[in-house]
Amino acid sequence: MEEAIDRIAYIIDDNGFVIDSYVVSSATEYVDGNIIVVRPSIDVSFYKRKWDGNKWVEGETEEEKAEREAKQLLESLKPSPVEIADAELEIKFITMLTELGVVQ
Amino acid sequence: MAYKGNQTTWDNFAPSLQQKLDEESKDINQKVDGLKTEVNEHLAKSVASEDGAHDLRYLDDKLEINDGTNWTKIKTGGDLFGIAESTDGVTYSVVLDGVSEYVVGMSISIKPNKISTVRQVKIQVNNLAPVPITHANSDFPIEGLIRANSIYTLRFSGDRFIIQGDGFGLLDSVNSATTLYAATANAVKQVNDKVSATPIILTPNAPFVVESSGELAVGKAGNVAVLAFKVKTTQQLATTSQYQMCEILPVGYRNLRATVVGHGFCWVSSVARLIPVTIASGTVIMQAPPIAIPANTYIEGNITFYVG
Repeated sequence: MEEAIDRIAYIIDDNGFVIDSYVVSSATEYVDGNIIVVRPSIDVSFYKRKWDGNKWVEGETEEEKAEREAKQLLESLKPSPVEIADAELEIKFITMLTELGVVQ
Repeated sequence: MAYKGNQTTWDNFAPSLQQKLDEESKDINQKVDGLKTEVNEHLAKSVASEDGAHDLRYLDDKLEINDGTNWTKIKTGGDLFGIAESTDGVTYSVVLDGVSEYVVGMSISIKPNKISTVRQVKIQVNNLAPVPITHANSDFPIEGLIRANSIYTLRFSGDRFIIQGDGFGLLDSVNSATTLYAATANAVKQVNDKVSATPIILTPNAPFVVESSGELAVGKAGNVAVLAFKVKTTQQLATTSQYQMCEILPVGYRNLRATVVGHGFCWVSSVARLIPVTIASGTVIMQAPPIAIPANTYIEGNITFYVG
């Protein structure tokens, strides 16, 4: 007889998206209506995990994916606070060297 | 002469008055005779075949009717009680005197002979069609709620019987989706047992993955929880975005009162970097990193917090 272990029971909405979770002790994985006690594979992760009735799948739509990737691209072009601080320090250093006549 | 009074008085009446009195007395006597006949016919009928009652009495706290021979207690709604028989715990049959139809608002009481085995139980009164038994909000009672040899009072709503009074049951196991039942001592013990529990393995959200099971987990000792993680990025993390590391923590593992802050640690271009990680009401967020974190970077750390 398998020993019961603690597992996460995911509560899904009518569209298969996770809305809450709690811990259950069970020897096996199971599905009971909108309660899914099935752990997703560890080698893959989802932006918007969804239960398709048999397994966990990516629930992000193509439109949402395009929007997310565009936002990521835009954000990757913005300098970080550290980069801005470094740039400001560099400008101050160059200004100081210029005033001292070290550089022109 | 239809006049029934004193003869001398009658003789003193004028002939025209005598004639008039004779005619009116005749009409009155005919009406009286008709009423006598009607009363006799009424008395000759059975109470069972006639509207209205012959004789009623209230004796020894009982309202009774006489059918000409015997006094019989009048049945009222409050006495609609019977043994509800079932062979499978699904449909119960009960025999109740005088019920020939379901009437909105009618109240019946039943004593089931068997525990219910499904949620969608039904009750059949006499030979009427079986109708569902539900809670007031139309939810079906969980299987096992209808107990053998207990007594339930039901009222007809028009299409179903609604459990009155003690309709909500106890459960040995409750969760956040349980809204209609109360926890038993057994259920409370299970919760207490959970206070110190083995770590619960969590699933990372994109853009994070784990390489081995258990590298993202939360455990508890008393009311102190520890979230430990070693995740790998699957894309570059921007300095202006925050990322939800995993699904909301399960019930019992959430910090309910405040946001807690910890950090994740990683190496970027041979420089050690710390990234703030917060947990607010169970939602684990990796805050915007100080510099862009490339894909395939390992970030690890832990956060300790109170759960209650």
